[in-house]
Amino acid sequence: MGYPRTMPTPHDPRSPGPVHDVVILGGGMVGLTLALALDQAGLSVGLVESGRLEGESAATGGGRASMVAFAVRRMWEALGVGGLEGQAQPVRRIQVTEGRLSSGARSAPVAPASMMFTDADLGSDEAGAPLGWMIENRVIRDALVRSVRAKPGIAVFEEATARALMRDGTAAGVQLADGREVAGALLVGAEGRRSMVAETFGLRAVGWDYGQDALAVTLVHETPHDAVAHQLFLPSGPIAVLPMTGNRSNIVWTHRRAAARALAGMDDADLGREIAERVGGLLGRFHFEGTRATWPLALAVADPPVGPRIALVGDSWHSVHPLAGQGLNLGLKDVAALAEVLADAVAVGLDPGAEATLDRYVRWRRFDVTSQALGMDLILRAFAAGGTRLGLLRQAGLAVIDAAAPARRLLARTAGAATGDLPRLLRGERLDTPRAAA
Amino acid sequence: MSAHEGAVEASGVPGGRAPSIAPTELAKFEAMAAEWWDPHGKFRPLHRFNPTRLRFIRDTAIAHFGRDPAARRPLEGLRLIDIGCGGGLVSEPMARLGARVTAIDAGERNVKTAMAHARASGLSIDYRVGAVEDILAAQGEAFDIVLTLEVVEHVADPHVFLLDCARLLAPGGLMVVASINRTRKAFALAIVAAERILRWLPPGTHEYDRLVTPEEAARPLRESGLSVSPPIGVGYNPIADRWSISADADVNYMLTATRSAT
Repeated sequence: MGYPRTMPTPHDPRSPGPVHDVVILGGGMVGLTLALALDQAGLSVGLVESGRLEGESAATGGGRASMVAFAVRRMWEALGVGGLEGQAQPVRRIQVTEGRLSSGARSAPVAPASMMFTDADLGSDEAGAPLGWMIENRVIRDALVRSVRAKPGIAVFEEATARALMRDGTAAGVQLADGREVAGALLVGAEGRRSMVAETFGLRAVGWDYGQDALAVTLVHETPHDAVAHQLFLPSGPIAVLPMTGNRSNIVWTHRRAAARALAGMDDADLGREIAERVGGLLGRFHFEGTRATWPLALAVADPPVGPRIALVGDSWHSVHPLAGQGLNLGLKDVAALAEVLADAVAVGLDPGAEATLDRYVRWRRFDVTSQALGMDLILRAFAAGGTRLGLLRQAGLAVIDAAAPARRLLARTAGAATGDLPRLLRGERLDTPRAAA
Repeated sequence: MSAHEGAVEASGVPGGRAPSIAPTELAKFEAMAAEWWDPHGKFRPLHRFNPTRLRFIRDTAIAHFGRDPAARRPLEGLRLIDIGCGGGLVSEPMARLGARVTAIDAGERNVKTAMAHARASGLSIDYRVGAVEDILAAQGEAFDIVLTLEVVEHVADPHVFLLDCARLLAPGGLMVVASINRTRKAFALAIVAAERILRWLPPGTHEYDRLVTPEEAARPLRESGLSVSPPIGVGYNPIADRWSISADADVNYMLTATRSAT
């Protein structure tokens, strides 16, 4: 690859140094939020996105929505992101059910205190606060893009295809197809699964393919959802029914790959019948809204998620099963931790791309990421297991959720203490105000 | 650079005094010089510890000189000397914060490592091989900030060394001394635990009898006419695996001293 002419080189005394503090590859929800957080902390940011920032939302927003945790909303507020009011459906309860609702299935409301799906670290202490909000991804993206556009400190390179990535002792960056180069002290991979940063620099992922695809659709339905989310574990895979504003729900149905593709290819009438057979009792009559989204499910966790001058966030680091629409929260916790680590480093004159700096990010996030990914996996296996030998495990599935969650949280708290518990942004603190005395 | 090398290789320095650095102490650090910037190498504990002391120095300097805490380069233009700079783990951040940094170390390999790293980082730092008395021999150099961090416990005569350091401090200047206290607790934690049990540091890095108490460090500074603040502690929480500023100066401590402007 070699050094392009304009990249700073270590031995050139006239080297202008990296142009940006941080270059972010990928303008999705995670990359956009990271750009806003770093900008608030006074770091200069280059944001590289292959599409138009706005155009992306229509193309990929489709049928997908996310469960946004209390602390994540608080972070967006601290970052000045507006426009989510009125488009966020509070989720008051999550009901976990094994088997079909119609056939005397075992069903249990999961108490907020022992909630595997809603990360307790990210919840609210206030009595009566919702467990989270369901918001359509395109709504989130639009709000984030509006904020990013208003920040002169964020240089946006859009419709910009990354041709190659480069790294030397002082900088890392992206060479664009049009010949431009965007370099910084740190290059962050926020492209989602199949990260170019991870692949180029050999941050190998461990994990496995579930052999399943997820299908997401939005329904407008007759029976009110009463702000309750449902997670149904069926023999073929889980279905999440997630309440949205209006009388709408987002369905995320994961199924064996061939079956999922068959579902995705059905016309509305056939797909409607398949869904009604499983969750119709909850929703009454319904029709579809918007487009369908499908994606393959795999567990993949890159280890390590950093190297000299490079770091991964969100799905680039870890793609996990989207049980109950929770995947985004994990990625935004990465963002909050990484932004604080970089802000702290720069404040005391440390190099934001140095391994010693990135080490703190990894120590802060690794345990949480790994345990969440494996926790999701454990639950899936418990419920997906067929046959009599594994039947017992399935029977114990709900108990597993309840038992695993407090244990995980206890460990997470211990491990998280390594660098200071919840990142400031997730506590609702801005990064441009002096930190409270330690 | 050859003049500096000569100063190190010679058995003495101009003026006929014994060199401030203890030769056996110097050898320990020279042997590890290449590893200064490896966050997973022998200096890993120092990398962990570094942000805490950097923040203390930064905040203290900003308060003392009335600088803007929100500025990216709050120490812009201040003349700073880092005495016993090692691989430059403090010199480089200080340069990024805007200080005009001179950094000295008696270990030639340390300084070479530091120079190469600063060049690669695009930082301009005046690195010199030598001891504090070499700087004094050069006429008229004075500094707004004098740092000597984790050094007094390795010099031949801490009292004389600190008298020399204080002479470099300009009127209105700020001096920071960091070291390990000579207490039973320090022996248990900094030597037995950190070196022999946890192996954070190579065994023998610190010798108990060489440790200097904050009172002993303050004495030559007061004799030099400086106002010395009470020591603050830098504590380690093994459960949280985290360093922080604390009131307990029994193990790691930092001492600040100032010279009046007039």
